[in-house]
Amino acid sequence: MKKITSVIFLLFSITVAIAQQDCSTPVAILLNSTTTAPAFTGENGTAPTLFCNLNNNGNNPTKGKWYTYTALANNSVILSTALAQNGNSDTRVFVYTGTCGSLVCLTANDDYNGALTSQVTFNATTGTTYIIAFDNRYSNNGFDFTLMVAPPPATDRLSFTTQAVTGIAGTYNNCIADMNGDNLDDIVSAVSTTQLVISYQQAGGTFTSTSFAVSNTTVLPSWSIAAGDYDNNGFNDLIYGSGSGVVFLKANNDGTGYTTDRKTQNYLVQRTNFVDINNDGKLDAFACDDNAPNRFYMNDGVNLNANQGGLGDFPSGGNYASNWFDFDNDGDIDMYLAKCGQGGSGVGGNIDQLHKNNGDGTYTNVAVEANMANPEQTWSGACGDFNNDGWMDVIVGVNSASNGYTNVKRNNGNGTFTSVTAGSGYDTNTSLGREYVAQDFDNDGFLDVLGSGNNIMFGDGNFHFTANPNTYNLSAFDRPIGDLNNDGFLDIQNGTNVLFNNGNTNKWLNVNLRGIQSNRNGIGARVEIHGAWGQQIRYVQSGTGFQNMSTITAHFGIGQATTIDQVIIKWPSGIIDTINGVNPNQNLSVVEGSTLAVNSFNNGVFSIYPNPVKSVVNIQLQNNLNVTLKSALVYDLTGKVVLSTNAVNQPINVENLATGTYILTISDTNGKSYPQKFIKE
Amino acid sequence: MKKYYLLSAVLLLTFVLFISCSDNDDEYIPISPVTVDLTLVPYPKLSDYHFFEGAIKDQIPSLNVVAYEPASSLFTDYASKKRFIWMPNGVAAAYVADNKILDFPVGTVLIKTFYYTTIQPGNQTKIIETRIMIRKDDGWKFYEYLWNDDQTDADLVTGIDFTNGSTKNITFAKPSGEIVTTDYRIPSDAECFACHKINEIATPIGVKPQNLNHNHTYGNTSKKILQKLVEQGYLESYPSSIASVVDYHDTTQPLDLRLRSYLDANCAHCHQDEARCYYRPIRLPFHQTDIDSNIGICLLADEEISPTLQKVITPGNFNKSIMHYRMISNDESERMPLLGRTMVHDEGVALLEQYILSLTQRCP
Repeated sequence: MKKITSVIFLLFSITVAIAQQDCSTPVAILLNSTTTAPAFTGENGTAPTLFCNLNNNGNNPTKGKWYTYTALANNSVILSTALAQNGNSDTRVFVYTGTCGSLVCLTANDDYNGALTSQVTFNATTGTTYIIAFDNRYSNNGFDFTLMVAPPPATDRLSFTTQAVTGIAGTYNNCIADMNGDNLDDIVSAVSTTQLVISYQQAGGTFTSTSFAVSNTTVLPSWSIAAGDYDNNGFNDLIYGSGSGVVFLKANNDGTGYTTDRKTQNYLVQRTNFVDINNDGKLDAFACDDNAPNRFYMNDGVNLNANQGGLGDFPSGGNYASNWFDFDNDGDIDMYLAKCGQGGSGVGGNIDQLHKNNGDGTYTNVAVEANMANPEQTWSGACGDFNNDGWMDVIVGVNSASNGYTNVKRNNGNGTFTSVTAGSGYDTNTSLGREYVAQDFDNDGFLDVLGSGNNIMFGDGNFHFTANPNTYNLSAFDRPIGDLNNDGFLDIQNGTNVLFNNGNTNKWLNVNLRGIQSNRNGIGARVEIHGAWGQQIRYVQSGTGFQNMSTITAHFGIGQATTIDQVIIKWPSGIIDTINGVNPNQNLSVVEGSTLAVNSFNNGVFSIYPNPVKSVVNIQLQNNLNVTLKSALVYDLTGKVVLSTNAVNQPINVENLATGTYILTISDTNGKSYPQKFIKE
Repeated sequence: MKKYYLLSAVLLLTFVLFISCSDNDDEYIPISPVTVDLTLVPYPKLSDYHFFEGAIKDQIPSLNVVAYEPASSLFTDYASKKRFIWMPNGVAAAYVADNKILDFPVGTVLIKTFYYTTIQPGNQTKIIETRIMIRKDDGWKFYEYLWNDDQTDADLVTGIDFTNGSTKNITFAKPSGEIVTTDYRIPSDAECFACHKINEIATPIGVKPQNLNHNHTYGNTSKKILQKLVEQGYLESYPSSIASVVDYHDTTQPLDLRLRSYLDANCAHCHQDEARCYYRPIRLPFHQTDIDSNIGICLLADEEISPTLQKVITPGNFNKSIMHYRMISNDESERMPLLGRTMVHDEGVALLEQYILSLTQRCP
């Protein structure tokens, strides 16, 4: 034992003799100095083992150099090897706090700004010692580095705090949706073909994760994912879009398990959506096909049946993202199709399409007459009413510069669009990307774009967009959006971390829908809020951008306004709910038809008597209808099911219900639902 | 069963001799059994074409069916391939350019059989599929034939089965000896077209003079493929000097030519003008990759993967080269090529690594 100790002492004394080679024998450096680090060859310094956010791809460095900096004042400092004399030498730098025995990552950098050199900026606090390490992961060459006082950083217009969320699993980190109907956004992780993990948001912003064993899905959401309740049971289901077709995962009636429905069609899927294509109250699913006309799965109440043709039929595909909203305000949803593909020689695989709903379940491409036959190479467009005039605009985001840069298209309100890119801020933004999503991140009442360049382009309500002065730490690919701490400011997931929005003093409103005659998510509904700002609109959608699923909730910011005069929901069924005098900063839940007067229901299938009711509701089916009623549900006005029965051929006993207003919905054998409001006395 | 084959072969031979001799007693003129009626194809079975003599699984070409092989070929999950060309009597293809598909006459058939010699257990030889392209009046058509388990014939894939494609689960030994299992992809018609197109018009890929300007063994003789095609009457002529790709396996060839040949065979069908991925700035056909920016050296990719993965090729550093990142990935949304493989091509990756390590350009 004694011998070993003395050997260790001997080793220790040797390392002391050679500076900067070990964490415990660093060279102290001063602010505003340049230090020459000798070549790694000829040294045997200890390599760092804590790599912060950098990846070694299985190839660990073998040597390291260690320095310390003890701050004498509070300063933002820049540590850099991006110096002319270093040429293209390939360095990596790590900055730690703590002690050698328990280092804590502060920051790290490999290739700074696309070069091979490194640079980090951090806030140094008086009296703190920062441990700085370089390694030889990429090069053994010597190099110089500087430590300088940083110019004051530009102030963020909106900032986020990155925090790890325990429970997020696997590598498919691309889905945020409220999976259990509690109006709080949850995080979905498709871990493997036999495992799904859902991290349920709890009150207070914590998460509780549940792992579901699922029967083999064969494919994973390698290209896209979407969530929606296609069986209207109150729990969202999923579609995975892969390079080999799609699979559905359907939640059971209490959300405690999922069944797998793998579709046999094998094709290269891009964007997927849940959307009620034929407006029958049941969500269908849509899948962009990269190599052929688009595919869709029509919901007959039991099965999702495969279809192809009629919704984007370019023979060799090039279909990247489908975005569903009503562009011509005729009351039914249309579809903007972002396309990318060969553009030379007039082939036109890159030409965007705009599919107008003919009102009978068929669609017609009107892109040319609408001036939406955009030639840009786009994988998705940000769709929203950017100037709050009640008409949906499109920012055609580019993924390649070969046919022009991002194109801002204003909806003229007459079935046509005009490019207003000049002066919009996008005329000087040449970054490329695949995800372009419209949301109001700073709650100022004007839609912003989370798009290319790992930044948000903040809108001013008049087609002028300004990037945050600093970029955000985001993945260019997996970046679903949702309110993950229920504070009314939208957050962004990045892998197993969440960028929590630090917010500001602006007010907000989240609107969650419970469809009854319409699909339960209210997908396709138009939500309007009216107030001092005029109006704002959202279309409830499943599957925006290129590959992520972001919150289904309609999110609004209203700046410093203190009241919302009116919230209007225009449901796909045609029902219009109006709520007057809504307080901001709340999650508003609206049940379809809940604001209608009792006598204003005319579902065309049945009526009830008496109304108001004391003990039993009698159902009277209208004559000469080929409808067979199957089951009945009674909702309270918060959307909660308070009564359920299959005995629809006899009076329904409601004696146990508290006095108040309720909605009775009866489903027929085809899965279609009909609502009627009643008052319980 | 074997007896019947023998019998019918004898009968056929007798018949052939009879009709050939009846015209001219002095000259023996064998007649090719191949049948390609453009109004009737595709036939339901591969055997209906009579492209092969003897047991069809032996893939011995019938008279006038000519075997060929490009100098460098596409990697498809380590499948071995046999390729053949057949044309009707009296027509021939014309040379267009070293790097352009031969101008084939109507009636031309290109045949490509995909098989493994190391199917487990016991390194069995198994043919999976035969893909056929036929030049009709209105252009090239794709047909897919799936082999039966007995290897006695292959059936045409039709209708929704061809629209969807399929997979076949196989376990085989890689050249390295490693045993792997994969869902081998049988392509859909749309997937055939995704690669086999120029300006949205269907086209073959490999049959370019630059790929056929090397020797192949025909019977007992080794002969330049282009020369064989001329002798067969399938090609009018070809120039004496052709800028040609090399066999990327051939370590006696310069590294850059090997890599450029590999990229031509594996990537250029999409990454070229007028093709599927023309909108990306790289250009990977052999005749264009002598320019650094075309091959991606120091080129910023349209989509960066991460702050340390921004360039298509970073000289000297394959870990910072997106081309390498995509070639070692099996993730459907990251891998390149996008179609045609489910596993990494170790030898191709090694070649790319060797090439990138040899580069010394300094990026601006």
